[in-house]
Amino acid sequence: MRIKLTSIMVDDQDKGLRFYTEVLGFKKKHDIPVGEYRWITITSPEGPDDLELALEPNANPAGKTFQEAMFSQGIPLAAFEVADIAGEFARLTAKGVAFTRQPAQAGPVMLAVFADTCGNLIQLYQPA
Amino acid sequence: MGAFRADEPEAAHGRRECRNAGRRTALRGLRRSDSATVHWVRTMLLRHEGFRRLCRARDLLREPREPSPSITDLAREVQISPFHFIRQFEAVFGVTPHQFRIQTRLDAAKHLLAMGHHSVTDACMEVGFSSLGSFSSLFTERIGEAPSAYRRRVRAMVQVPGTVPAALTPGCLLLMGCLSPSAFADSVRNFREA
Repeated sequence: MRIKLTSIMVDDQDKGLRFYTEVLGFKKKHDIPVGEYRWITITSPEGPDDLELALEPNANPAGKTFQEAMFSQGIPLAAFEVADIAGEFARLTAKGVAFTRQPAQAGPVMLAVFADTCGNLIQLYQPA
Repeated sequence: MGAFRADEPEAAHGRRECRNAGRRTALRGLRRSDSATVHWVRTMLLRHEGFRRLCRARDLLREPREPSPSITDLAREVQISPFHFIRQFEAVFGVTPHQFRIQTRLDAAKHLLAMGHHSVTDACMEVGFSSLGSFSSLFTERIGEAPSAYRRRVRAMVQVPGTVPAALTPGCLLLMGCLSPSAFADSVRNFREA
């Protein structure tokens, strides 16, 4: 049993794909129409190639409620590891990304949190 | 932290700006270009209170209210200046407050049409559009088909009366079940080689 796929809900799959590729810098792997929605997955150009993040539609009302409640409480729903959090903070803020926490030490990691424009707060972390 | 230099004169100005009442954006970041020219990066850094106000604005934009408040009224209600309100809202939610309100109404219209009891005109009026023409063109532009076509198509889906068809509210990972094998071609190869 392997962990090769995980997912995050987005309130708009077009907007989500744009933000995660053009702003965050992930690569699109799949974008396949399925009924009302699309099967969209992304991977990191920093690898590995076969570890995918699916951008789920948040059409399920329970999903939407959960997502919004976590957002309002300031709780991130995904976290990405970075090598240079100060550099990422500068790069992303230059692109207009809104952060709710600027990079700061939190125990063994430096942490920052931003809004992904699709209903989620996302955490960046840089291990020591 | 290499990106920040709090000792520059501009930083003092930035701090002064931060202290100004009602300011939500902090002129805080310093980024050096290759030619060593200093560029100030206007950083969208939301404090706890500012973030809460934007979340409240999102909730207010969801509420159907007669008459519908202007964006300026809403900014006032959440105590952010209209200029900053629109910019911050868009930075956080990816759309302007106005666009967000339209999308909320269109989503509500989709829901009503999918439930099966509303005509296009009824749904249009119910969600707060005063013009059937603008509702139809906004709906078509965003959803990709005219409201009448959408209604016809979703009413043909199997559903329990009074609910939205299950096909419209999937658990996403289940969508995987509708894909062709080629979507997993690499994965299959990796497993076999292991």
